[in-house]
Amino acid sequence: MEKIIIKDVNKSYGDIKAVNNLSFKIEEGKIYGILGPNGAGKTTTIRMLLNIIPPDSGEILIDNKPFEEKMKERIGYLPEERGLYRKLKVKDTLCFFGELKGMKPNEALKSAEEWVDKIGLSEWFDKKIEELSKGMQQKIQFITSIIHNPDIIIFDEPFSGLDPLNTEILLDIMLEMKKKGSTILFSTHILEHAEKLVDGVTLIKNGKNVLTGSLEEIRNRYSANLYKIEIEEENDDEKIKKFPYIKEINSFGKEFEIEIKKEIEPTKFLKDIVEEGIKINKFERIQPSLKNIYLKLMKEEEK
Amino acid sequence: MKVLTIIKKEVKEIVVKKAFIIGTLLTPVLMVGMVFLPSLIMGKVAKTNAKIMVIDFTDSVFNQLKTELEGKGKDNKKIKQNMEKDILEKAKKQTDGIEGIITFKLENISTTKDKLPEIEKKLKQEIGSKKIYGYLIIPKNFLKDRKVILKAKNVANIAVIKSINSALRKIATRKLLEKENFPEDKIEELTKSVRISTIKIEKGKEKKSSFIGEYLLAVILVVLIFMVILVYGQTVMRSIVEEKNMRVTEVLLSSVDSFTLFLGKITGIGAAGLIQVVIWAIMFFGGYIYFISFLPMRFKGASVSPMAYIAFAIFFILGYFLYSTLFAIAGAVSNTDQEAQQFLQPIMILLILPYLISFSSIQNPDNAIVVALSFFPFFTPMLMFVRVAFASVPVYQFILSTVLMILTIIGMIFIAAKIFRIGILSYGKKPNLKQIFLWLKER
Repeated sequence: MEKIIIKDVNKSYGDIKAVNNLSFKIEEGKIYGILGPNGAGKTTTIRMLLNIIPPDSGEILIDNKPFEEKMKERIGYLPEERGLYRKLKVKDTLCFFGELKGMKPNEALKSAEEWVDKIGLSEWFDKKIEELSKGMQQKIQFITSIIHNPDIIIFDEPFSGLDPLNTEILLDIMLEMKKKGSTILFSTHILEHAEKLVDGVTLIKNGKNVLTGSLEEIRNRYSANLYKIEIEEENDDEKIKKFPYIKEINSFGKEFEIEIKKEIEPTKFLKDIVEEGIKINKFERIQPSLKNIYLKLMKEEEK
Repeated sequence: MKVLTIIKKEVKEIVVKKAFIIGTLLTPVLMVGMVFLPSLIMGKVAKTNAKIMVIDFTDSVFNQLKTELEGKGKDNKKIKQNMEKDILEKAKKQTDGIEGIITFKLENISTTKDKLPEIEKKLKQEIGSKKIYGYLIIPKNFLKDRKVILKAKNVANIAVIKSINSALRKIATRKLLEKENFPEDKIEELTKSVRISTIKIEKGKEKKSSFIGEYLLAVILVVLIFMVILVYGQTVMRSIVEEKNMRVTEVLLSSVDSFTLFLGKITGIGAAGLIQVVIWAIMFFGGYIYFISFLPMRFKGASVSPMAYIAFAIFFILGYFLYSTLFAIAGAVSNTDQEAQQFLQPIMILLILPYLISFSSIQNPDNAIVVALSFFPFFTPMLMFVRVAFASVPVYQFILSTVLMILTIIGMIFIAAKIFRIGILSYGKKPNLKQIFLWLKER
């Protein structure tokens, strides 16, 4: 069942078209990513979804119903620009945000205790936010968005500014909430995270939908004859570049991602490399990553 | 319900702070110190307890003298009150405190002429050790000679002498008339004291005697309206800017709509202000009742009409709400406190103007310009209050100004909530007036 439907949505700020006829759907219980470069309109889309700003035209449906104020209680939101009240205690912060989501004070307190315990910050429960380290504050911030066990979770650039440890914690939280049946939507421009998590994505650029679908679908659609090669001598890539069937080379020092024409067999490619006398440490046929697809599409858009 | 959560948080955030508690307790102490301390000292000096020993050789005067002076005489209470008033009026002018309210306590010493020196020696010691104020010798032929002797440390206290003098004269006259077989009620009539009510003339006009007190109280209340609006209005502004800076606003807006957030914020901060004022009011009236006996007459009965208190309560609350919408707008369109300060200027002008006008209008609250200005909602809190306190304002005018204010507040809240909704999410460049106006037109 579709949990969220966004249909032909438009939003302009003055002369700038932030969102241009955007449409996509999110299935219940799935993790969905909105990808796109900075300024693509991700945050505007998310804010419209939460009714923080109204769309100029188009339709946004949650459970097939237009937005009502009451729905905010079932949504958890972590904005890109985040912060907490510095002078408020951890306990009071969590209870405040919980109560704002319609929880009763004792419910909020109980849930706050459980979550703080889970992330190992129990000792800090009665401390002021300003006394916590940045990493701890980030953890508390996550909890504020899910303390009320929402069935829709919306994270705007959740991984920006997180250290690896907190990134892991957030990934765990997201997967745990998915297990509980929550539908999760998040935006990011860091595609590695998206790839690990998402069931479906929408790629937007300049407010326009560039690509939409499940991860599998997209991979199939953009499947390519793609190889990952590691060479011994750095200059040998010049030789590879001369092969007539090479479509594209992305170099990472001694490592390359190479796309070749579809009809060329891997054995032929490998044979050619060996015949050229290039020493290789690794030769691997790979699936296109989300990043490959993304970069490809972005480049096409530029043209 | 969510509005309550926000109100609760705002109130808690302000009231639990040390600065609030200290400020709340210290402000009245400072105010009392500045306004009342000189008067307290003055009032205290003016009060004298005079224990006087009476050596009465006539054997018939003491009892009557005791009743007269200790204030148990028939019309004595009134006289005493009047006298106190009189004395205080003077005490006000002569700050050396020679005169004052006197509470007499008389004790009789029966003795004979031979033992007098011995007793006098003892009494003189008691005067030295301040056990008694002094002693009075009433000779045997007092009724004929009308001469007595008062020995005391301070014989310059005219009030004491005057009181004893008039009491004794009354008693002597009474005794004389009794001897002449005058009827009891006639005697009463003949010896009745004269009571003088004083009315001050200033600039050719009569003034009520407690005017200074009334004036002071009204001024304090106007200052209070001004201060609370200024302090708590700025708290609203800073709190909004701070929330923007801390990037909390967006999380809040994902839970409540901007209108609820806005209303919760100004109500919560206003409630904290109200708590402070109520604490002050309790302290003030508590102190007032406790200290009333020490206060000079000009502060006594320093009460404006009950109507003025009602007007104060109404205009205090409405005034706060009206101005806090302006402060909220200033906060919502600014990114830093410094930026907000610029928007503060026009608000300050709007606030200071009625404040200044209200002081000059106390002298002449019926002035047509003052009357007209008092209907301008931003001026109403202070000007209408002063009018109610110092002139008789027709009820319809009072109600009209209140209704006008409420309508303006409702309108302002809608405008402010709208600017607030867009402004609190706009970071970066400060919007100009044209942009703010465009925001208003947005859906």
